[in-house]
Amino acid sequence: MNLQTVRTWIASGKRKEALDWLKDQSETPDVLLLKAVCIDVDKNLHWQRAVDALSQRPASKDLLLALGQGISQARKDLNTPLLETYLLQAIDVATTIGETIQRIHWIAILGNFYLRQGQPDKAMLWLQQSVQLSIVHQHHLVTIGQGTILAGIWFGQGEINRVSALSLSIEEAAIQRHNWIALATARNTRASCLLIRKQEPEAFQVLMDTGDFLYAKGAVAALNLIKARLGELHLLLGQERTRSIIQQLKQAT
Amino acid sequence: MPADARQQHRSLEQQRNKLSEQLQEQLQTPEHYEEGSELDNSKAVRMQLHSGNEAIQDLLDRLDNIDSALSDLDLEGNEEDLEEEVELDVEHAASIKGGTDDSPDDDEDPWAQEYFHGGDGDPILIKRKRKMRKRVTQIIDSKETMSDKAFNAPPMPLVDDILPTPKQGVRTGDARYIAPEMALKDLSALIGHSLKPEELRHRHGSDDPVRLPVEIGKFLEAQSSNELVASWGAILGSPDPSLLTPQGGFSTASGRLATLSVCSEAMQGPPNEIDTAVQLALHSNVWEHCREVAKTLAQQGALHAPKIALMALKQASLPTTSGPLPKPNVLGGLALKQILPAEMAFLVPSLSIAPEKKIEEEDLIAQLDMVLSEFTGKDPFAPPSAPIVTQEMIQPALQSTNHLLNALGRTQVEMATASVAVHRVNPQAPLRSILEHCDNILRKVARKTIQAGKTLENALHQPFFSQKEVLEQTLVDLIDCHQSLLSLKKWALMTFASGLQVNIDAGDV
Repeated sequence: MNLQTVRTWIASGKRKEALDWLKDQSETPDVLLLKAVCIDVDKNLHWQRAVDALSQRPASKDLLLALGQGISQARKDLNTPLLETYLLQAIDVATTIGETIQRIHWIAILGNFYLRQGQPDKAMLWLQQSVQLSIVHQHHLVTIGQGTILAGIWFGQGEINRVSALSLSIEEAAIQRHNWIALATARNTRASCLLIRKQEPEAFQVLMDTGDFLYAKGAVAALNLIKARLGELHLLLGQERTRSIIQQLKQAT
Repeated sequence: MPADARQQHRSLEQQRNKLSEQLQEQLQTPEHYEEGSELDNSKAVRMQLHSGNEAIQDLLDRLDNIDSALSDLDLEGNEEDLEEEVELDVEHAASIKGGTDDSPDDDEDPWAQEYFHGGDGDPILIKRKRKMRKRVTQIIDSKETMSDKAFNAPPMPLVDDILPTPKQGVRTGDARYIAPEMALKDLSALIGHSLKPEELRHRHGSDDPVRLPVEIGKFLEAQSSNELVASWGAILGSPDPSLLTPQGGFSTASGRLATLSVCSEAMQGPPNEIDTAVQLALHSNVWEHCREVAKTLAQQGALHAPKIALMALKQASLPTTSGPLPKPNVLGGLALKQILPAEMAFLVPSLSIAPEKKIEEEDLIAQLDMVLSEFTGKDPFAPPSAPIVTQEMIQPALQSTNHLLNALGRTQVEMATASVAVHRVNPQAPLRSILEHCDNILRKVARKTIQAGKTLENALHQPFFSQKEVLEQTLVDLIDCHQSLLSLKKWALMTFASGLQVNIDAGDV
């Protein structure tokens, strides 16, 4: 009987048997980790003990697992100081052991955490890092999700060039994932950037091209977002101006 | 109208005319970037306000305020009696009739004991008069109108001739997550609405482009075990200002919310499990509907899940399956649990046994007790009488029995609610066999519970020691019944949700 057998038991759902055996063992980091997996009461305390014990050793997957569970418990318990500490540690551990996807996720979560805590300056660093890493490692879903949040912040700050560039990355990721809603939103955003730069025909061109693309895909909901933005521009610029721009575009093609 | 009111009226009209002119001007000439000038961030921010709807919205809002003030002036002083019919619910009716009941749930729960035996559940209509200013009514009306956004929505431009609407194409990749798209069907709901927080809070309904992602976010934050999904859910659930930034207009803000909803679902898992579960979680109104149906059926003594479901769905029969059901959908089960009310309280059944009489050890007091006994006609040397089962003794167990019976009745309605929600998401999902199984089990548990209650009552006034074993076994039976109920509910909710995958898996690309 050894820890490997206990791990097998846990994986096959025999948690009670595993716990009975673990209770009689000395509290090594491995035993504390497996106990935390099996015990259903006071989980936060057990995960905390497991994290503390495993932190004494070099960074490992077990420590990352324990930190993940500790983060989940801290979130449910609204223990924000502990949540922040664990998130920072999880990023550190994931970086050390080369778990790139996990690293991107924890960075994104920390950025969102600071944002929700009302610390946008602190959040920006992590939000940007999560988007940059996701683009580098082609983690398209995070590029879209985190990119959408970051684009909203930058747009509010008037960082038009950054919004425009980021929208292009989101568009690429959205096409890869067939996420037409994200594609429409990113194109709407980019069209607004063009409008601010007085490039009205170009703004309309982006919307019309996207509209044609989404029409061909039969993406009704996403197309509605493009049409809604066109409708808003229609209200903003007036019917005459809108018609004239669309006419120009049609003649050009 | 007094002179000062006329003056105020004129002043407001002037303001209104001025704002109307500004609005026209704003629509024609938005601030633009001049070629050759440097585009710094502060200028960009100013210009963005005009590229979105904020400026126009602001002018429209100010116009609305002036209109409202003008109508107030016109109507001031006009008071009239308004007679209104107020439909009182059962709870109010009981309080008016002066009826009180020890059971805390009786007024609210149609499955409570009185409904098993029928009862007067008709709503009571009373008329009451009260003085009300007409203008107050109008303000309330305008608030309601604002809440659905028709009040200050700009006129709808014709865009269908520029981009016609196609037929829905084949869904692939992230396009298979349908729930976030449910609020993007109506074009007029996406154009030019306000993004002001005080107006957003009036938004409601699963077809609202702001409320729907909020509800999806709340559900995923609460139920997801994936921390990134929970994080995105939290950002959606109480929407972060970054998503609702007015730059880009209402349409782009709605797009950001929908985008993050799709990402959250996609990160959580495959659409046939996750999207269907999310759709289920959005049917929170089904419980109220089924409860109303149950009230009617309870008066006929027909509080059975299949009947409630049939009546709620207005169907002659329910879909079923001959083959095995797909594997249980855990998140779907949690979604169904979320649309049901909180679990009913259950007191662990017990007996209230009075402590044994203390034997007096003090000689003098013991002798005094004997003398008193003799004077009151009792035999001072008689041994203490054997304890008997009293009403007080079995009261806690009887109370648990009643709670359990009420919970069993409510579970019939809950199972019907789950099946109705599932049917609304996928009308082909098999329901009949699951509902019938639930009904059978619930009847068996109810019979066992009633039997336990009878055993408790039969033991009344019997010597306690002769009934002790029977009573203890009854308590165990009651606990077993409660456990069976909980297990049945857990199984049923996950199985109902698993039925959603029927004919959806086949459609996946």
